Amino acid sequence: MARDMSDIDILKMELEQLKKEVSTPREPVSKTSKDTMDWCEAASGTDLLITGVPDDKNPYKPEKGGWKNIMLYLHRNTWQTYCSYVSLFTGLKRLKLERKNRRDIH
Amino acid sequence: MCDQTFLAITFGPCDSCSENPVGRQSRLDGRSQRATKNICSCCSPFCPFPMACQGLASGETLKSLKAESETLRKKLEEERKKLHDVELEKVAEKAEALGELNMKTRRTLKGHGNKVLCMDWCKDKRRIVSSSQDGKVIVWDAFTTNKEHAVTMPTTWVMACAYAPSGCAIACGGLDNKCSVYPLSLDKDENLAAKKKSVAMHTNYLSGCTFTNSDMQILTSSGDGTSALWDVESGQLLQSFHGHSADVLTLDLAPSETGNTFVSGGSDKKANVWDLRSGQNVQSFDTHDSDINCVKYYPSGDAFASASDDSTCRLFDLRADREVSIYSKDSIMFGAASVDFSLSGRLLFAGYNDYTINVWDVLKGTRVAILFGHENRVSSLRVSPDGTAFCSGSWDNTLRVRQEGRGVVRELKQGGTTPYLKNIFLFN
Repeated sequence: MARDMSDIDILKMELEQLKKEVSTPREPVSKTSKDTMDWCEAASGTDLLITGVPDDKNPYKPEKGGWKNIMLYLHRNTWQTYCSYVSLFTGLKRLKLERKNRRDIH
Repeated sequence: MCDQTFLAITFGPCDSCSENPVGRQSRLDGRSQRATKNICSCCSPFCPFPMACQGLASGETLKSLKAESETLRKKLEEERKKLHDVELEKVAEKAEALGELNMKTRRTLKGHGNKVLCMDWCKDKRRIVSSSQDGKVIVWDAFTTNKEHAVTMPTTWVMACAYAPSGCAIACGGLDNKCSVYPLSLDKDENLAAKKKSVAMHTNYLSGCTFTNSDMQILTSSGDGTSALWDVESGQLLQSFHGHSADVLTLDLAPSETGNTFVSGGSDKKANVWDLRSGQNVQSFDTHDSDINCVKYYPSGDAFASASDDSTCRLFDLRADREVSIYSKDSIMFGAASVDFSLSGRLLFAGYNDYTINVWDVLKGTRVAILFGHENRVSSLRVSPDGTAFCSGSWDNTLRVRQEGRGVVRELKQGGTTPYLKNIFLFN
């Protein structure tokens, strides 16, 4: 219906609305923000998306020891150990090169 | 109606047209070009006495209306500014900082054949109803990921769906311009489509629907610019709400403790608060720069948040009657499609068109986390009624149920080998 209204009608509607709104009671932001904050603090202890859900009460608890999880854990762990060895190895090699260069210079 | 000459467009319909509506004639009579006349070409045979001065009068009305509304708007702005004595962020400095959030995807609900447009939780905290572009509406059990019911609507683009408070019915609608209520039966073989009841009738697409506190009444919003309250049993219109000058895209009912109001947001960049009983527009907010895609009440009922195509989310305080916080970042360039608060109102989850979900700290105005995982834009997002998890539906045909997880390693599900490399440095 808004699409069928002419511009004048839309303006008239907006004007009526503005007249009503100018006289609505308002409270200062300091008071309302404080109230909002107090409400939030009071309720935050029970907010499970902040505190997390303990495993025994969690209906979405991921199963431990499922074969998918074991494979994922192994995969992740082998990759991690490989990478850490690689970084260690390259670090050691660099140290050796530096020592060699220093000996050559002196 | 007047023909669309320049005069008719600028000065509005002439006096004769509003009194004697004539069928559309596109004759461009030479007489209509003269500025002193206020009658359009199709009216001239009916008005023997052209009134020379009234052409100016109708032009004046439009201008004077505009000027009056400008002055009122300025006055309103002044009144609101007087009470803006402190920023929410300043007040929130005393609040405790949030710890690191670690949201994990617990369930991925796959089964829709096309984009998921809307979803809703049941009050039993377990079931989810979701609707998609191909016309299918599916009821899932989020714990087991089983599909409990599936309904095929006769229309595509089912943009709104809602679960009844009792859990015994679902309502959905979209391009068919009406809202259909399906009672859910325990018998899985029963054809749900046979028991369908058409409740709402709009003249344009249905963009949002929600049950009020009972199964008996439905509130709908539509692309025709109106919202309406319907009785489910009889299909009668109980109350209609006019005030938006463009499509109404979203609505949200106030939490039950605070009373009978709801907020709606539309393509006219305005968010309006309405009184359910009287049908009056109580408050209006128009600080957004683009279409408002989603509005949600703060859990206490004194404020609401909105998500818009201008890539910001804003918090509006109802008692102070102004916007008190903007949640935006320069790096976020895509519109936000959906928002929801956590139970305490401290976290604001917002789904964006750049496939991510940003989690904002409502009080401090900062972003707490970015959640990846969806492969297309996030179209809808809802926190479960008990606040343990939240579900996001996306155009990648899936829904994801996420929770705050324990663990040191943060899972950034972007695919590829980079997450594993990052794990090395984060793992301790």
